[in-house]
Formats: sequence, C-alpha cells, structure tokens
Amino acid sequence: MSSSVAAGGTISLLVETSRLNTERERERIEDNVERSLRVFQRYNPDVKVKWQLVPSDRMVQELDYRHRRGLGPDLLLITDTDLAALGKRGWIRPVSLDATERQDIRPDLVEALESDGQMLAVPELVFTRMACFDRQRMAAAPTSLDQLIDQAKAGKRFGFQSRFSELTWLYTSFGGELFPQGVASTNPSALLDFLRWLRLANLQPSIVFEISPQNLLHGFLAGRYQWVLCANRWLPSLQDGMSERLGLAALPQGPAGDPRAVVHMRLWAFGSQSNPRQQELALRLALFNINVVQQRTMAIDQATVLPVNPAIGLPFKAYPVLAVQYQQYKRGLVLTNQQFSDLYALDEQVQPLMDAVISGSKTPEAIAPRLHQVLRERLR
Amino acid sequence: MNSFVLSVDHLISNFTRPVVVWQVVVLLLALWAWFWVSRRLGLEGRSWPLTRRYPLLSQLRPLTNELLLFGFLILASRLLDWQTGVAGLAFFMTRFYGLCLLSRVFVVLMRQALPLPIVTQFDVRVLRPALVLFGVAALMAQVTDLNALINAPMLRFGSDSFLVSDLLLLLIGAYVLVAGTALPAWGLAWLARKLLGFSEQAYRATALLLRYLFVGIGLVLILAMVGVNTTVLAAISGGLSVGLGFGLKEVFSNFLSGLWLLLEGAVRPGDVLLLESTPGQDPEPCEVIELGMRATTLWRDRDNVELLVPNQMFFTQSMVTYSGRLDRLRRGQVLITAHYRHAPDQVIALLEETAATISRVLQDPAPKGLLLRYDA
Repeated sequence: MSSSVAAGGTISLLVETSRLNTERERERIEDNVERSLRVFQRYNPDVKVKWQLVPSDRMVQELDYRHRRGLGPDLLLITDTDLAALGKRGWIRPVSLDATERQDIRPDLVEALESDGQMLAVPELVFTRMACFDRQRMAAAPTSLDQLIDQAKAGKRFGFQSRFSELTWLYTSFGGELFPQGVASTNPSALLDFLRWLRLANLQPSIVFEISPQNLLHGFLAGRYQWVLCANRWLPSLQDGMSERLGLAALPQGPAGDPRAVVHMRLWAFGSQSNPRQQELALRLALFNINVVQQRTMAIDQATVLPVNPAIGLPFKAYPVLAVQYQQYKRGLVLTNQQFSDLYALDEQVQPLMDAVISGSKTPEAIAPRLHQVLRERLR
Repeated sequence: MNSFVLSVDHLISNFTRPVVVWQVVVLLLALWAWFWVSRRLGLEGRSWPLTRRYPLLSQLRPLTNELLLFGFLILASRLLDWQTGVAGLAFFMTRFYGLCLLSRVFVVLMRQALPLPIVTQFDVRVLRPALVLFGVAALMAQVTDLNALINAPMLRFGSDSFLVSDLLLLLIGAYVLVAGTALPAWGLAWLARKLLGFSEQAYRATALLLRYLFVGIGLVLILAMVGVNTTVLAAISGGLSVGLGFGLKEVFSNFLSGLWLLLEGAVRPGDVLLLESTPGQDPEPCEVIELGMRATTLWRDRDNVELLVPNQMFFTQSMVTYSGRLDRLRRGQVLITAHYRHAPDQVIALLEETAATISRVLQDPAPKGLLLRYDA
C-alpha cells in the first residue's frame, strides 16, 4: 500500500478531538496528524489531504452542515463511540477489505467492526481506561478493590466517574456480564455486589464520584485526588501537568478477578458522499496508517496506545504503559458499534438509579432488581 | 496561502461528486424552466397595477424576471431537499442570487433619494465588488473553516507576522475607503444642509471634505488594526517623504490646492470660467462639473468635452468667472466682419435685432452693436 499512486487527487479528513482537550493537546494532535500525513505524502506525492480538527461536541453539527451540501468529508478519524450514530445518519459507508488487508488488523477487532462482510471502519489504535495515580503521594496504585478501600480509609483520595458506561470494568470485576452470550443473562448477584461496593465506597469521605470527567481531570491535576479512573485522551495533559509524578497502573481486581475494561478504538471511517477517486484515496490513506511500520512508530511515539496490527512486537519493558494497556486489552471487552451505542444510550436511563445508590437515597437491594431489568432489556 | 490553494483544489474536486453535480443540474433545470416561462409571460412588458399611484413600482418592473427566477430557484432547491435531503449548495446559490436581487432593489430605492452619479458610482465600485467578494468568501466557507483560513500566517517582517486577514483588511479596507465613502459622505452632507441650511456649493464642499476625513481616519485605523509597528512605519515614511517630496510633489500640490479651493469657495461646481485650454488661443467658457482630489473636471460647451484641469492651475493662473458672487449676469460679445458693400448701420441693426431674439439675452440693457474698425 505504500507504493506511489498513479494519479493524484484531494481528499478531506476530519479529525475528532475531545472537547476537554487543551490548546497544547490540540497542538500535539495536530503534530501527530501532520507527521502521519507527511509520511503518507512522501510515498503518494500527488495526493493532497485537506484536514481539520473538530471537537467531539461539534462533530455532528459539522457533519450535518457538510452533508446537507454534498460536501461531507472523505475520511474521519473518530472514536468508536461515535460510529453507530454516524452510521445511522448515513454519513459513513462500509468498505470491503481483501484477505491481505484484513491481516493487518487483529481478528477480534475485525469481527467487532464487520457487518455483512464489510468493515464499518478501519481501526487505527486501541486503548482502555487505566488507573492514574500521583507517585509522590501514593507509593503504589491499589491492585484490588479491597486495597483501594483500605487506602481510602488511610486518607488517600480517589476519584471515579459515576456514569455506568465508565464503571463497567468495576461491574465485571464482580462477575457481571455486559453483553451475555447465548442464554446467559446479567448476573443479579454480581449486580447487587457491584451496587453494594459503590455504596461502601461512597461512605468513605475520600472516595468521590464525579458526573463530569472534566472535574475529575482538573481535580487530579490540582492534587485533590491521588488516584483517578483515567481516559486515554487525558494522558498528554496529565504528562504535561504532572511529569514524573504521574503513575499509570492497571485497574484494580475485584472479588471475581481481573476487571474486563471496554476496549476503545480510534477508527478511520469513510464518508458516504465521496466520488470513486476520493473513496479509493481515503482507503489508501487509512490502510497506509495500519501498515507495520506506521503502526509501530505511532504506538512508540504516543506510548499509551496499542497498534491494531497483530504483526508488531512492542518493547514492553521499555514502555510499561504499553504493557499495562496490552494486559487490559487481552482480557478486555471488544464491543461492536451497536453494543457501544447501546451501552452509551443506557447511561441516561441508568444514571438516576446509580445516583440513588451512590447518594444513599435508596439501598442497593432496592435498586438492583430495577437495574437488572434495564440491563437485561437494553444490553442483549 | 497553501491552505487557500488546497481549499480551492478541494472545492473543485468535490464538484465531481454525484450529490454536488445533481444540485447543479437541478438549478440548471430551474434556469431552463424560468427561461421558457418568462418568454411566454413577458412580465417586463406588461403594465403593473398601481404604478400610477406608486411610481416606484414602475422602477422595479425591470426586476420582474429576476424575481421570477428567484422563485424558480427556491422551488427547485426545496424540491431537491425534500427528495434527497442534500440541497445545501443549491440553497446557498439561491440565497446568494436573492441577495444580489435585493441589492438591485436597494439601488433602485437609492436612485429615488440620491444623485444618480453617486448611486451609480456606489453600485459599480462598492456594491458589486462587495457582492462578488462575499460570494467567494461564502463559497469558501462551504468547504473549509474560513476562520482558520483567514487567520493563517502569510508574511513575516522581522518579529511581525501578517495573517491573510491582515492583508485582506489592508486591500479591501483601503479599496472600500476610497471607493465607498462617497455615499455616506453625501448622506452626512445632505443632513448637514438640511439642518444648517448650507448652500449648494457648501453642501458639495462638505461632502468632499467628509470623504477625505473618512479616508484619512479609516486608513489610520486599518493600519492600527493590522498591527503595523508604528516605529517602523514612521521610519519608512520618514525615508519615503523625501522621495515623495520630489517625486509626488505635483500630486500633493494638486491635492492641497483642491482642499484650499473647497474651503475658500473660489471655484465651485456649477461655475462658468474662462479657461485658456490651448496656449496662445482665446480663453473659452467652461462649466465646473466636479472638484476632485487631484484635478477639477470642466465641461466645454463648444465641442461637448470634459477637461481635467490640475487643481494647482487655479492658483497659478488668474481666472475669469462668469458666475461670480454678486450675480450671474455677464456681458458677452461676438465679433462679426462684414463686406464693404453692406452699410454698417444696416449690419448693426440686423445684429441687434438678432441678438434680441435670443431667449437668455436681456432686454434691458438691450444688446448693442458697435463698429470697431472700418479699414482696408
């Protein structure tokens, strides 16, 4: 795929950024995109790529504006959580990959993104939620939930997001199943244990559940927390703000064993309004970015994300964060775009129940059957 | 600039997209349908109701077909949107056409209230270029982040870097100031005349002075907004002033002469002057049409031509004016030669009789014929 193109053309690329990104992070994303495009254009000099960063909260508006004019982007670099919504609106189109091209993507990711023999998008990178902690004020991150409670009792401050979609790792660490296979259904006792732990955790004054991820990030940077549940996109800010103090660790184990974190993907999605030439070039660019050389360079440069190409051996000893990511990815949950959509759509319905338990206005025993009912209906 | 070129390139490549081609085709179909219908209806030739009562309506009649086309474009865009949901470009082009049409109505309305040359000048020099510029910018905004594009750095001088927006502000701002301040200056001068009872000449002088004022203040503001380093600017202008002093001496001299003439009121539009337009020949009467920044425009009746006379000439030459401050009555003379066989008395009587028939020649004092010379 890295051979020269016979004839050139111009394609447009929209790169989604988090609305929480700081100016410095945006600059870093710009640098990454520019570097990646520069390498691509070295081998494809006639192909021009017009690209633009778009904050996630403006993405739908931007795409709607462009699609109404027939000027939708040829390529989008987005997170997996958006894929279903964009697909429903008809703004992206699936692509066909041959067997050789599929070999550049891990089989479980191909399976998650495949629909009717076509790929809904091409994954670029994978990552999971991690635990971030302050090395100066916490010698080591807790490896189990019991340790976490003990450290909280000792005065260490912990920050969690209170949305169910961000606590699925905790739920699975009590034996809960998110999308049960076959006849199995959500485990009621695991759900009850999960809710009881939430109640127990909130009884500790040093464990805080935040609705807003922004509050959690800023609280950690400001030193209000010593441990937080960390999104991958925060890492550049945290590395800038905390430098050597920032520690990254795997999520703590629960009574049922290691948690199964949701595996997130950064995806190349393809615009539905492109002409045939633009479609060809967009696919060429996406596939170029998952070749062995680009993937390895990207993973090592960013040092917090995993490549999707299975043929790459990563230097885990030199990059411990990659080792943690890999460990969590191996036991993590790779969701289809429909499952992502269902999981995030669930938050609105489940949040009042979660809040009732966390705040103490209802007992876990009172809420568990209702939550069980919702999960059984919505996460099938 | 690369960003701009890339945006244009992208726009062009997008015009081969089926969804974009389809929008253009639908608009072309609407155009064809309008052409067919408008030829059959012949709306422009028809008499409109209420035109006697409201004469303005008849002024708008030439825009009937354009209005009809606007209607067709709206209809086509709406149909396309209803069918496909992708008609943004069609709507954009329709709205832009609507804006152009609105500007025509605006011009018609202005013609009712303001002098025709001023309105025409404003239309040609400001309104139409502004519409073209707006159209290009709006079209670019369809495909690119216009904000990012115009805020891209373009030039660097020392520690100062200039953005695309700075350059646009300099070019467009200066153009708008020079070309577009006539109308607001006339408007303010008109207001001043109404409030303060200015004479026609004072009114014209005020308008021109206001225009110079707008241009001067505007240029200073533009330079300040662009962020031109005032120290560097002062150094450059100091160096240039010597060169300008020699090279553009005449231009500045004419400019200042024009200002002085306006303030003094010695030469005003409407005055009739005796001008020696060709060296060595008798001076000829010319009417002052306009006092410009560098030159004054005069109209010569004899051959119906306009003369551009540098303003400083009114300072270096003495002028005879036929339209002075006291009154506008002047004595005119016509030199006639006649053959010896005609008796002088008869010739004089005939000349006096003929002169008396001219409508603008006074009866009192009556025209008088004189014998100047009778020799071989």
